[in-house]
Amino acid sequence: MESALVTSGLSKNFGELAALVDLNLSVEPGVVFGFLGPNGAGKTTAIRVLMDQIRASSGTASILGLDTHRNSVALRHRIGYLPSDLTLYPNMTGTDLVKFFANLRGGVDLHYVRVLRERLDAQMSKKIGDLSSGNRQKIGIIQAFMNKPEFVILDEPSAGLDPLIQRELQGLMRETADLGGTIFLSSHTLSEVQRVADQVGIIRNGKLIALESIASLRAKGIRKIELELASEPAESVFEGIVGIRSLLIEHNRVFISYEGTMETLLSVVMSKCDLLDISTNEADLEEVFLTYYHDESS
Amino acid sequence: MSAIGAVYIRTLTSRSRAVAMGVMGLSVLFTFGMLVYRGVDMSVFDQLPESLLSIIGIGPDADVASLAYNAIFSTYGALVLGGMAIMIGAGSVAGRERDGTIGLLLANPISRGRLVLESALALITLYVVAAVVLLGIGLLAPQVLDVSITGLSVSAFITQLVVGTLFYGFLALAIGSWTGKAQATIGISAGVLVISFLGSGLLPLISGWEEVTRIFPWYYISAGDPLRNGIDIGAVAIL
Repeated sequence: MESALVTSGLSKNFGELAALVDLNLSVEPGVVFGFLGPNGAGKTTAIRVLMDQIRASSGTASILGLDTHRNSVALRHRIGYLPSDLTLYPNMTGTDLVKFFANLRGGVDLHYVRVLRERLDAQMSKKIGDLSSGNRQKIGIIQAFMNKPEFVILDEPSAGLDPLIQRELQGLMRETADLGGTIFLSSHTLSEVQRVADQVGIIRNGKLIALESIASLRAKGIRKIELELASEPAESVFEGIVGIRSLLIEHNRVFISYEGTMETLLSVVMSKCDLLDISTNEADLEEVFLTYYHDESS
Repeated sequence: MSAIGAVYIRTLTSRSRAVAMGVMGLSVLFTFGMLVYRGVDMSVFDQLPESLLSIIGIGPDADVASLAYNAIFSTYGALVLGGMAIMIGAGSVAGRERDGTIGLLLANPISRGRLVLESALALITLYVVAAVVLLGIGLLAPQVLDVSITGLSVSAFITQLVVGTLFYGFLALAIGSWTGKAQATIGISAGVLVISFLGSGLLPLISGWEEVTRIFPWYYISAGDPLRNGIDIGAVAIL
């Protein structure tokens, strides 16, 4: 199957500043791809290159098999886009804006626009200049999804949205991906990415420092594990298990901070002790993320 | 509706009110001007400095009608129409850059070239409509006020006026599309308009500098005296 997004050696320099360095990505169709990084990491620069708003200094990018620069106009029929610095026409109503963009794109199902409006509880009849930032963001989301795009680029889409609408947006992303579409979700909000993304790329100082599935990223997370054993174990039982960050033994209960696969830990423990019960907290991407940054920094 | 035309229509609708107000103001000014000039002893203009008469386009053989057309339309009218054309031209690309709306607009299947083209077509359309309205007023007001316009080619005069002022709009459109900077575009275009207005009015007063006025776009608005001699195809072609 052809990749939905492929970048090869994509770089962008602003004078001496390397905003994006040798970005190599491949995102498959039907995936929500989380593009994570702190402010100024290069996420929006990458998106602006993909949208052909700025030219890459070197490298190439293609979306849905079309070169993002040479075939940019043809490509825009098939993609949806929500920028991070969303600026709409203040004197238009939401309905006017949607009609204007629908005319530009062609083939927009206005019934689907109504569905989106209801799902997001968007105010379409007021002038955009009179709306709150959250309500403006809803109109931005509607225009991004209204042509049922095959590829959607969302740059910090949850900004200003209340938790209920954030959940609705995540549902919309998931549905689009389940129907074979691809979501390129740029965010610095880990919880959002954690909930909805299948695959994650982490960018820092313009460089992609990790590209993994959420599942494998979680496997790298630090888990808080509590073991209940038949009897109090000796500390030596846990010596040599790679990934144990901290260990506390209280009678027959063992509290472990562990970074690694459960299989490795349990095989050692079960070979030396009688395991009665186990409880574990799911690894938080926040910790993984910070670990990546810590590792990179050091 | 296809992608072609949406920006054209959007530009028309968003700019039509400003153009309508400008044209309405000029129409009222022209009508009142003609009404006032009708009762003025034309010899009063003999007292005015030659430089002032040159700038406001009053020739030695001015009558009530030509005075109204030249003083109101060729001077105030050209400044107003030129200024509005600059605002529309600058707003099409550079204004959208300034407002931050161009990113989302160009996320739709429309190229930058198409944006410029549709904006230019909208500007032309607005000014064709403006020309028709001004021509209507230019013909109606003399009839109502009983001022003779025999021998005057009002349509040629209005055509050359509108084409001349459109030049400044296209200049702003070109600069704005190239630089993406709205303030600079308005500043440069307005500067060209003012300098060419003053240059065209004052340089003919300096012996030996008369021909230099040909470098100014403003000169071609009334080149060949279209009110009396009909449209100057050469001037229109240069514009």
